[in-house]
Amino acid sequence: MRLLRRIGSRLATTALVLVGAVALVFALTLVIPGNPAQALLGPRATPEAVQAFSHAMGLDRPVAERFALFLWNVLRGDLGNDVVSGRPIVTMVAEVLPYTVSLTLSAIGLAILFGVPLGCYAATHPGSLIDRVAAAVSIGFIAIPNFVVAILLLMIFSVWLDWFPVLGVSRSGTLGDQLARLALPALSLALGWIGYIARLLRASLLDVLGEAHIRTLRAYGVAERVIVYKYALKPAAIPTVAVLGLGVGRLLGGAIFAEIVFARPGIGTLVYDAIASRNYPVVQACVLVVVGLFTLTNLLVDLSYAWLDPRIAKAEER
Amino acid sequence: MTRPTQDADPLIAIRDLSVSFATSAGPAEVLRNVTLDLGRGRIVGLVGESGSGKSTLASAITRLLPANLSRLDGGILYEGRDLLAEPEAAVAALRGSRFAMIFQDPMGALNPVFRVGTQLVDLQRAKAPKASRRDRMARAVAMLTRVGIPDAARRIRDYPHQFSGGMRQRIMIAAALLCEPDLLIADEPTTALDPTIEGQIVALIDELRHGFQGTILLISHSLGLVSHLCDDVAVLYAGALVERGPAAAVLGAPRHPYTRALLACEIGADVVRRATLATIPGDAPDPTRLPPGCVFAPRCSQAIDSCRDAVPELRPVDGDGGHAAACLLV
Repeated sequence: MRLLRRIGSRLATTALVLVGAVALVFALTLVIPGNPAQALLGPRATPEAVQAFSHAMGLDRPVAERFALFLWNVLRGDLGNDVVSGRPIVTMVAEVLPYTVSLTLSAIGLAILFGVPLGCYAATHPGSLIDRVAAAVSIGFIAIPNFVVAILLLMIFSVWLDWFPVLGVSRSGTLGDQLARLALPALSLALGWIGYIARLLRASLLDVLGEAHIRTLRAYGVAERVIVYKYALKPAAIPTVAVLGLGVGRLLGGAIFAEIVFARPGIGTLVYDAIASRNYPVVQACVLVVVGLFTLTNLLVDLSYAWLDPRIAKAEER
Repeated sequence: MTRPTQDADPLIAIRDLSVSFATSAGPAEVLRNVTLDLGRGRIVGLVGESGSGKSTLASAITRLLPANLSRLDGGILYEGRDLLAEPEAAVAALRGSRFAMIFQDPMGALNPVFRVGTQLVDLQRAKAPKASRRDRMARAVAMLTRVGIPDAARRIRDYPHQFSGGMRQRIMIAAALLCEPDLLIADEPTTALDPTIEGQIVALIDELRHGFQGTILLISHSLGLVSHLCDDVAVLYAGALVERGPAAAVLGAPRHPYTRALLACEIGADVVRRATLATIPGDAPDPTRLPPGCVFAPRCSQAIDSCRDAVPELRPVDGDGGHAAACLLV
């Protein structure tokens, strides 16, 4: 019951954020200099063609009416049609979304899979060789932009070593083939995050390991493994989870570069092509989808706090 | 219930224990040549000011000393073994199965993000490694009821922040008793509590000790608490054991000037109307720069020149009654 009320109040906040996002995305059409129809059709379009296109797109109607219509369409799940091919944008997004989502989730998965044990090891062996090497390498990977890492990985593992397929996704291939094509893009996104999570977790674990309740466990002979991975990790995870929630936004941004470098279909490639062809309804739709994913992730992160720290849930009830 | 008097075969025999820590000001001698027996089934009070080395002595027994330890000499004998010479893993195996601890701060001693029941189940791991989670949970509920937590079967699913400080200290006492330890170390168990709650916890310890077979080491700076609960008393000053013996003898007829001064400082009902409270002049010495000879000599009103020449040995003051003091004047 309490959980349902929390989810309800968070969903209301999320809905407000999404309406705000829809308004901003709608404003895109207003800030494009001049007539969007003109911009879209290019300099050689006849005035008649521009007029006809404006009418077809509803651009000749008052702004408020256009916004209401846009909002209503979004609510109905209608993101409009591609101005070039005329296909429904929802279908186009739905086709490529799984690629982006699987890429982002794989990257987060890799970051957690390697970052968490590395952070735990570094916190329990501060000053050790692995701790110091991990610190240096982490900072390196945090500092290097994603797309540089992506290109380097592509050079080393696909071109020189020939361990992984170079480009693309395997739309009809086996699961193994699909995973092989996912590995390098996901790794290129994850590398910075592995180090980031490890450093962050190391710092908060070191704090928690100095607390009195850890001393209690030690005085009662509880195994170090249980102390670190159960009793210290849970309270130490909160800052990391918060950063990961915000990081999804950066990961989605990074996914655009990874998709372009590795020539994968996805929201990133879709929005890149749409910008290049001034296909603004597609750009709007993609931005909306990304904002939606980001908001949804942060909803989950918010809800996870209550599980990670019951005192937070209690404080919110007051 | 009568308890055996001074024991020829103590549970723990601390011999010439010296502990130093590395600090930026040089090595801090926190304990120096401490020799003390903890008799079987007895409650031993360890008193002294803050920084006198009380907690360090407890940590030395369980070998949970901080990382800046620079010197650990002497011996701590338990069941024919020297705990200081044993490998770390061997001593770790005793924690939670033979030794249990209750800490000063019940607010911090429990993990804030796990249910009390989960923690009590895991704290029994060393004692009952083969017992099922359900068994350990059932034992925890029974023990919480015994230490006075109402509706324990339901409250065991609560988190620590849902309990008051006094209730949390009851939980810690339950955790310690669940281990059925040979040695229970209670490090200032009532210091962080309100006076009314303190009284309740003291009454609880008083009540529980009759069913408890093991030895209790009660660390406190409250002489009232120690005289109320303890069979034996040991007085520490600046890392040196200055007086020890049966509680009635040490607190009733103190021989060391420091013990006398401590007793004079105690705020009792009879001193309320006195114009000024008794204090000991001066400060406890800096453990990185201890004075030569008797460490208490610089603050001692009765000190003579030879007090500053050599560290006085602990000498019996009443034949073989176990009462001893480290002072040239006795």
